[in-house]
Amino acid sequence: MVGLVIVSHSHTLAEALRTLAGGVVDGSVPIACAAGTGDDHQELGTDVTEIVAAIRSVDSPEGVLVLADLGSAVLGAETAIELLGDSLVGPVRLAAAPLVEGAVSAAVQISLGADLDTVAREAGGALFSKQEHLEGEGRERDQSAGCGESGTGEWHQGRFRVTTRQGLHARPLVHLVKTAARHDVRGEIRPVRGDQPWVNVRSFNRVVTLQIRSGEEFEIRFTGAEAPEALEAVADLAARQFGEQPQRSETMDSDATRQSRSGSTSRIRGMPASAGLALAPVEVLRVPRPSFGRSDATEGIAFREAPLGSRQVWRDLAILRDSIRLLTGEIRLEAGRASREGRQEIGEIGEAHAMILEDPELLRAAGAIYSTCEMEPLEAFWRAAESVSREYQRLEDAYMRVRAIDVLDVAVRLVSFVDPRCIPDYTLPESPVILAADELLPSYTMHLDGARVQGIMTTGGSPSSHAAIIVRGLGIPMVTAVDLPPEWQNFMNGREVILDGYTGEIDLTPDEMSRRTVLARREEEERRRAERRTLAFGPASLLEGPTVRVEANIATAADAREAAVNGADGVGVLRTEFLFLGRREIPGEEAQLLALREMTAPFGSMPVTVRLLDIGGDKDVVALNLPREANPFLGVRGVRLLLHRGFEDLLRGHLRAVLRLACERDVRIMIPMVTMEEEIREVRVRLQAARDELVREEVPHRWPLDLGIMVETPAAALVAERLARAVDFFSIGTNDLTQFVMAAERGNEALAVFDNALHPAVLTAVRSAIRGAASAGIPLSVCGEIGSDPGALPVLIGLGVRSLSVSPVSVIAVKEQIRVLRESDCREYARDALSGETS
Amino acid sequence: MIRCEEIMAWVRELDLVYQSNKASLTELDAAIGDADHGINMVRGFSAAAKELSEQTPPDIGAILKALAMILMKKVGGASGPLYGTFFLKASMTCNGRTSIGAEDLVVLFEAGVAGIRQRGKAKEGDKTMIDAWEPAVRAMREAFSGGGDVSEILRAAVSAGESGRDATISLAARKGRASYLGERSRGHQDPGATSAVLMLKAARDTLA
Repeated sequence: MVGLVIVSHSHTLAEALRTLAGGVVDGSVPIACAAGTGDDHQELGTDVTEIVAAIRSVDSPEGVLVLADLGSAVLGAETAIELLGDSLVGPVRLAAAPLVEGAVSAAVQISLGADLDTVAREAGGALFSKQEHLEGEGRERDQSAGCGESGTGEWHQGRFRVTTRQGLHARPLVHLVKTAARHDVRGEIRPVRGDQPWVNVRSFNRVVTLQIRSGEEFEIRFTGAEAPEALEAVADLAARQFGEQPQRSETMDSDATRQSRSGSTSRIRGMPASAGLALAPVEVLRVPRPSFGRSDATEGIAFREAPLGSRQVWRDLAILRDSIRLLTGEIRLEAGRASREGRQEIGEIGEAHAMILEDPELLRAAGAIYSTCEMEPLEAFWRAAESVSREYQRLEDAYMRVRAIDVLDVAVRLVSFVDPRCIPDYTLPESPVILAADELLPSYTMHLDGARVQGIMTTGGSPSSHAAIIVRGLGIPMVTAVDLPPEWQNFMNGREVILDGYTGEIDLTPDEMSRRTVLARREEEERRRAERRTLAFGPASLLEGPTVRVEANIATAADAREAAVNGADGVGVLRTEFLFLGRREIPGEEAQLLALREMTAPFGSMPVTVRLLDIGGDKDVVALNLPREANPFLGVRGVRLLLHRGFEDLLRGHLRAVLRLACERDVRIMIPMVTMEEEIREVRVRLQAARDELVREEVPHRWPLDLGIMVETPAAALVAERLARAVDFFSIGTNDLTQFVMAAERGNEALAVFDNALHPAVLTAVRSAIRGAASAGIPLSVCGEIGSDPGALPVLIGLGVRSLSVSPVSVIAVKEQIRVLRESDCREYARDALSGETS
Repeated sequence: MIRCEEIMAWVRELDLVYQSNKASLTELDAAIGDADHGINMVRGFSAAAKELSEQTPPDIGAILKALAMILMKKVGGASGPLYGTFFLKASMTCNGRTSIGAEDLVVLFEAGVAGIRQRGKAKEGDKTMIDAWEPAVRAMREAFSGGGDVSEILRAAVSAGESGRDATISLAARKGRASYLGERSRGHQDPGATSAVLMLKAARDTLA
């Protein structure tokens, strides 16, 4: 693949261009930058040696195309190419192309697999399409660029309508151009509007300037050996919405929807974004604006002494850098977990948020504001994010425009992360409401409770916004782009309305008749949903065999609710990390108790296994200020950290909160990452001490509690018999156990083949733990993803496992599978699996 | 006879010369360019004087080549590749040599200026450093042919370079950043030609 090098005077310019060009081709093209001068590249200029290095970094037999902005960048690039001589494996070419248009064109051509000549020619021709668009000149010129060698025989022509909401914007166009390029054809395209000239379909920049919008038609024609195939491929692509999200027909055309509005002013309309009906009073919600405790008098710009790029500013911004790194890690962790649990869309949103947050431009913009204005780094960051968000709003591309709210969302999260006092407190009313807002922050939406929030309407947003995607997952009816007058907040708050998530209609003055209809329909929907769930409740037993407990792993209050409605028999692992993540200070005992109480509320008297704080490894907590370790997975984590010097108070408060929770719930305590019996003994000592304190202070609590361990290290599995005599229960953590037994880091894609909990080695460790538990007569369960793997479940049952803990979404399916399994078959599966047979 | 010591003295002198002329070069550049020429030259030659003093390469060719690379890395502006190419081409004429004579010196400068000419694609009259360099190397060749020694050769170069530099005042720029100004660049002395003459003067004061 041809490599691309961007040479510019400005580091910022080059990096932004790399993002732009790279984004168009989904990062599939090797792009290197050489820009700026001085030690940190912040000064304007170019460094020849850096250009040399950049070219080398993308060197390949297919060659390298270099694009430079002006003056010394061009001279520098020429010098660099001369210095390189013939030390490269491929040819290198400096293109006389406009930098921005050239880079985008070149990236597209490279992603199509074009050769260096074609890439250079298309980049060089990039200026023509703009000239043509703005000056209307030379329309006949240049039909040749990028065309295949095929002759101009018979034309195969087709006509297609663009149904993607955003029209033929960059991403669908890349699909179109790629499709054309895969065939030996010459192709031309033009919009069906007025008298438009044909343009070469392989010229990305020229097709972009046609601005074919949603609902418009375009004509495309091919000539050459594979013309019929090319046309067919385009038809197929058009049928698949050019690879974009499919759009439900009723939401396709907002203008049409609005025009069909009934004469009555008591009904307003928007775009339906999530199906369902709701009837409740409106609760107006505003996007939280952080306040930074600064009087307006100091507003305005005052120049700071320290210039951007100075050591002082660099140091001052350290808090932002650290927090961004840590919060990004947390967001990725959540996202990864969501994806693994089958909630891909939530995972993707999290990944997008992580990318927005770690975009160096955001930090750089914050630095620029900080170094010139009199404000704290955190406020500078917020200002920078607001400004980036505004830039998104100005974008032509509607799909990108709705991402403006995501930028604000990550900024609110970061501000709250660094200093929660900056974010105004807000709690939803207890009674059911329909939320009304200009827009919803996706991260806030994720934690909405479907029981309290009956429906959602937003004046902004769209069915493709992240908030809408999340809301659909939650099953809450939603209407976006609601046509409300300005100052709508004043008359909407508290008003009872009917929201129809099927049609996008909102009835502002519902009469008795329509109320009854809505209530009846809601009841019907609820009944049908309940039917599906009824089966999940109640024990799941093997065919003619014993019952298998199916509990849930929960990490958030939303998980808990989902697990409860899906019929989980209890909480197998309550991950307490949520208490500590997302904040810079360690939460107190009371705060922990409140959060734990709220989280476990849906489980009433069902058993709840609280896993003590399992931090370390890939999970970092800012509040603890942990040192970096070379090999964190094998480092101070889990119980090692809890017992580490300096964390005495943390463990004391944590244990006290759990002991107090036990007054109200059926709590058991589980210790993570145990390797040695001494660790269990030490936790017992601390538990006893915490209990003694509570007794002295006459604070209500329950005693004694069952104390168990996670069996997730090979050491614990191997000496399970001995450990089993020291505890009240075992829970096998197959995720970590697998990575430790196989000595292969989880999440490392190169080692995916080792991430196999069914490997005989892992199963042998699991069996050792099961035998250990049996010998001491203590209960055992298995948590981790293996429990919800339909292929692994029979093996576990066959090994004798009678209790599982799985993700909330998997509970129903796991119970269903258990009900059709036979114990004797399972034993056979287990034997085969242990011996390594793959029958 | 010019040895490594003299070449190093030239480099240190260039550092001092550009430092003391930083403001005036930048001022000239502010009128018709982007006001960074003085800063760029100081950044480049300060780094060169420091790095080469700390570890002096063994021969003249190696010193000049190292100097070229430092300038290309550090200068930042267009003068980086231009002066970098000058010293790179110059270095090739004296690879492995620990001393050079009068003719070698002329050849060295001719090769360097050829590099600038090729790199910048400027001709005399375009209002660039070439307006100082071309007459200077022509004068060097003439002085050498007339039996001049190193000192006479370099004095001739300075004198011819100065005339070329002064002539740039009345020219309209056709190359480089100043060419954006076109006719409005008339009346200003070219900063590149100015720094070129400073380089010749430093050579006269240290190599002869």
